[in-house]
Amino acid sequence: MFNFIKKAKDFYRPPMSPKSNPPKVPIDKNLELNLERLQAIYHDSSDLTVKRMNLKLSDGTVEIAIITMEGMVDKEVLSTSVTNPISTYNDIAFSDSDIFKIVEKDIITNCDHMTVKYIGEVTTYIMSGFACVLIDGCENGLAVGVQGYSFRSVTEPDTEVLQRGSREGFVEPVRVNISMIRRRLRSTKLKFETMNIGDVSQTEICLCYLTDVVSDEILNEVKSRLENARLDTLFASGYLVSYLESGGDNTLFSGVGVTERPDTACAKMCEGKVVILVDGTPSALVVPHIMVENFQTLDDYSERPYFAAITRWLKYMSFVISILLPGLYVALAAFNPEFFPSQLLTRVATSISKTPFSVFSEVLLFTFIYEIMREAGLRLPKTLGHAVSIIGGLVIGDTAVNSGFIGAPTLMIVALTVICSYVIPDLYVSVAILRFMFIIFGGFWGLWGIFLLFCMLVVNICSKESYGVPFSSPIAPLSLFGLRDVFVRADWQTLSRRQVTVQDLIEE
Amino acid sequence: MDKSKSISPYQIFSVIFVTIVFSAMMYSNYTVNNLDLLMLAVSAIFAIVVLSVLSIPLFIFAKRSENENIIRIIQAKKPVLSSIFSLVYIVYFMYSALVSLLVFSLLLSNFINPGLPFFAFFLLTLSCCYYSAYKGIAAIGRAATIFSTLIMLSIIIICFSLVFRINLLNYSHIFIEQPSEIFDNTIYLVAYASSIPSMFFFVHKIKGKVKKTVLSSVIVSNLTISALSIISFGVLGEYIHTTPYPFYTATQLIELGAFQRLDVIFLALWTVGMFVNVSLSLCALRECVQNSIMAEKAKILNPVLVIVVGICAFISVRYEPIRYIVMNSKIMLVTFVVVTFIFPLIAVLAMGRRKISSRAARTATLTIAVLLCIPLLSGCQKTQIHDRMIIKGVGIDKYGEEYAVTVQYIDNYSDGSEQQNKCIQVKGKSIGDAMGKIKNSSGSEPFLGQNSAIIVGWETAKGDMEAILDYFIRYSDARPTVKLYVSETTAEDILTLKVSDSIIPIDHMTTISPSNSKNDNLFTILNFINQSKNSTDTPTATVIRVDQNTIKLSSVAAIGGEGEIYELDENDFITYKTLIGIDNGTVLSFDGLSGRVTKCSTNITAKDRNDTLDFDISCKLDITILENPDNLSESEIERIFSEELHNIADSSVKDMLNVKNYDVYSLGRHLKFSDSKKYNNTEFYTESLKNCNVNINIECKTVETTR
Repeated sequence: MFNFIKKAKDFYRPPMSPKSNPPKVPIDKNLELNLERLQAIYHDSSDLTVKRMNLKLSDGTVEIAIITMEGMVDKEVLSTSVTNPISTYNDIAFSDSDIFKIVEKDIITNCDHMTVKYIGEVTTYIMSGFACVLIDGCENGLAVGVQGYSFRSVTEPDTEVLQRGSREGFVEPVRVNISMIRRRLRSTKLKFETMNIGDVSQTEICLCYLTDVVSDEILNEVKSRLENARLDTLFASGYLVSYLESGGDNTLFSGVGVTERPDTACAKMCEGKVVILVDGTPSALVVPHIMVENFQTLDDYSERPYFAAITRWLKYMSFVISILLPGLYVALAAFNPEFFPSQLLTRVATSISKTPFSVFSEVLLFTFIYEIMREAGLRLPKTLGHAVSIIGGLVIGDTAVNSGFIGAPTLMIVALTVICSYVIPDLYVSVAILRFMFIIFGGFWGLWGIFLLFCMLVVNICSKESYGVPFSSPIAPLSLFGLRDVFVRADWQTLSRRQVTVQDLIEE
Repeated sequence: MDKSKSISPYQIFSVIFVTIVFSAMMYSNYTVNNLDLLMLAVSAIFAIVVLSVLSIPLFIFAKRSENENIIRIIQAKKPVLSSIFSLVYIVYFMYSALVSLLVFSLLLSNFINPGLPFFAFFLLTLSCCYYSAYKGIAAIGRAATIFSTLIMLSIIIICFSLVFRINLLNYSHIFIEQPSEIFDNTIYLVAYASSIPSMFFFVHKIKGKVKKTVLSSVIVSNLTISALSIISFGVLGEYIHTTPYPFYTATQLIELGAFQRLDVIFLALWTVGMFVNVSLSLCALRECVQNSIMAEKAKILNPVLVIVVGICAFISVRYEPIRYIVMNSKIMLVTFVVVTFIFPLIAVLAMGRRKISSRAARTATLTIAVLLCIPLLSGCQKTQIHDRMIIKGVGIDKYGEEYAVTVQYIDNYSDGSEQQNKCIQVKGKSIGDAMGKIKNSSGSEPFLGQNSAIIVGWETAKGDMEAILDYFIRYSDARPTVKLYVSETTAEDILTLKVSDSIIPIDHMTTISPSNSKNDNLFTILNFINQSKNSTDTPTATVIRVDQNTIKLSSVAAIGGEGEIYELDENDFITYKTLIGIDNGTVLSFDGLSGRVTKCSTNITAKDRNDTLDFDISCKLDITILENPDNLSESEIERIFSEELHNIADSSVKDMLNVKNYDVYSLGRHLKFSDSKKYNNTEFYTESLKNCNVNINIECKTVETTR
């Protein structure tokens, strides 16, 4: 009877095809065969460049092929460290096995090189900007690091602006990001583990952690989840969030943190967390991630403790205002106006009486209009942004109120809510959803709807765990040690006595 | 990462604290026959002992069980008995969820009246609580720690705000109550502590000492209830008998500056407490179902049982006999004792080891989504705020058998910066009838939530004032802090008074009696009802009159009932203000010498000296000199004021007590406060008052003006 439901489910979520593990094809001694295989793999792609050279020996020559991808290599470095040494080398003859060692140790002057044994590895390195050197008669090849692809320069990230922090943010190439982290955290315990994800894209990702601080359980779990990530392509770090999160990416709050700053990433690693860099994305994922971290910035640790406490409380209040204020306004105006102060009540009633919509409709509509404007502002070319802001400000703000389309209190409430939501940009997605939910609950069920939804929200936050760490910690379960840096920021002399790590939050 | 959830002791403390405090806040005349907050305070202490004793099986069980709940333990040895246990527990948890929902819905519908259909409320609440139960006890525990912190902070704010409104005379009948009231209240507190039996299903997940946690939470929560009860009783006094929910009424008196309605804090606490209570019951229900013989059907059975709870709640609300049975404290107590004490004792005897089988499948979340998508049953068609008549003042006059209700309201559609007030008069056979006609004549639904004054006409005040004020006491939006006035003529004259074609807003009346904590308490419905319910006092109300197009404070009227109303003359009024201790800037003039009272404090003590009854009244006044034509010295001025006031007060008090039989100074209550047992009999102290000695000592002190 319920077969149709099962069929619909299968249509929406088809069963996963088994992971393909193509056999590893070793590099053949015959150079021509290897080149044919590579051409076949790349379907004679025009950006695959093959430079054939002859290595002169005393008793003949040995053919060498240097395979690169057009635009991915630094030609100057390539010629300095690979082609020129090969072309100028002239020595006595050696057996085939010795040729590879000589090429590896004496001819290639670049210190960044790896031995490759399989065609698959050759293709991976070529597409990472390496130059692969294949020698006729040798079973091994050399992948030489001569990357020279263009990438964006290091700039300050737009989303995490600090007053007193560094102005460097992550960039797209993972190798550059690794160097930025290494530069800041000069510890021998810092370890990087790379892996490729994406059957098609073979995107390189890098796990960064401190071996003496990280929890082995968490690390193993992260690796396991990444290895089981069945992706064809990985073009943004956000793809991985669904695999890294315990409940998928359908939860209201994310248990995976995101940062664009190397200094923030280093600070997280010092707390025993694992940072995941994804090639092609200028942001790093941090696991595990708890709720209170959304309210912490590096600026808090640079300022005075009392000022840091003020800004923290501003953020907490802004969060509460941004989710609760419109819904509360609707609930009070529609169901319990007796809770308004007397003067405010008369003004609200007067303004509502002059507009054609109910309070609920007004607030919902205006919030929706704002989201449209925000989305438009994100996609607009900068040249047009000016015009849109004028239209938004004047038309929406002024004309709509004067024409009686919406009331001034509604406009003020929504404006205040929106401003507050930008105080915590990390939570914007959650805040936007919650705001709508509270408006709907407040409009349909009044204060009781607001209170009950608030209770559900608290339960939702408390029920979530990120790699065994309760999402609501250190508030619930209560950890007095962890609370040093939640509502207020203890001074550095206190904080530096012992760092709060993930282990402290797991053990209740 | 698989990690079995473990609950910290503080989380369990928080859960039990929130649920016990909530159950006490549900104290109402729907749950208990006779409301008495003072006895509730005493009962809370007894409840600590009873709950501690009844929790003994829980402590034993916690020590002996390792990874099993009560059903699993019995299942190993006595499968048939475990089936019976599981059925009983399932019914009990459904019952406790039902009762929590019922009491809260009665508060909403009868007292707060949000216009929400019952069905929508039950669906919304059960959906939210079911979601919470689905998330598990760990999530509920962690959420409860946050809620308990908020609740404790709110209770501190409430207690701190109410402490200044306490009238010590309200404690006059302490220790003379019948023991049965203590017994009934204790039964109530014990029976509604449904979090204790639910612990049998979660105790194996608790880290740390269960006994210490449970005991401390029971003690702290009941002491909190006790403190709140004592404070609320001191504020409300006899007014408690007019309200179904005394705690809620007490919080309606809290005002902090512009924030007049801080009872919303209390409502939030109630909602949170109800949420945790019901969530805990549903979570325990899930555990019970999953460990019972119906474990295979748990996926379907859980939502079905929740729906059954909702249906039962809906039926119970509609039919009073069913509701009466469901909310009977004694029935609850019996079930509580069975599931908390008797069954666990049996289980402890039948302890055994058994491996826990795998958990049942996850419950369907689709049910929640469907239940939430019922906006048609919501209250969104409720009247909008601009369609309501925001009433600022109400006047009541009676002509023959008909009541004429004059209402001053704010004109929402007035243009310009200045808010215009308008008046409308309707007539009806009763106040409620007349108020109901307002919508017909004006098109707007009356809204009394911002009403600041009730004015009763002189002739009308001679009637039954309690009956007149009853409507405003029971109306869901009204507050007990509304000022009460009696007009020298009719209430209509006051409310419709115009200056330059504009009606004088009733808000300006607050300047007549300067606002401070003493005055705000005295001239309100709360104080009036308190006095009238008290068999000794003669209730008083401020008298106002129209004088050259202004509204002026005239005096105070003693309303003796049965057609008697007496406006205090000038000397009586001065005595009244002095003895009651009103700081109202009274101007006193004796032989050209005049001064303004800036501060007044009075202490009245009743002393029963064998044959005679003495009242020692001592007053201390600070007076700022306004006119001193003869340039008298300060000491001379103080002597003159003291003597003159003493003479006035002395004759006035005796005249009031012996001749007019009006106890406007609450001397009777002071007498009861001194010896509650002896003066419990009204006739006895009425006679005593007539033959008492009143020793008045007035000290006046001159002070410089501060500005």
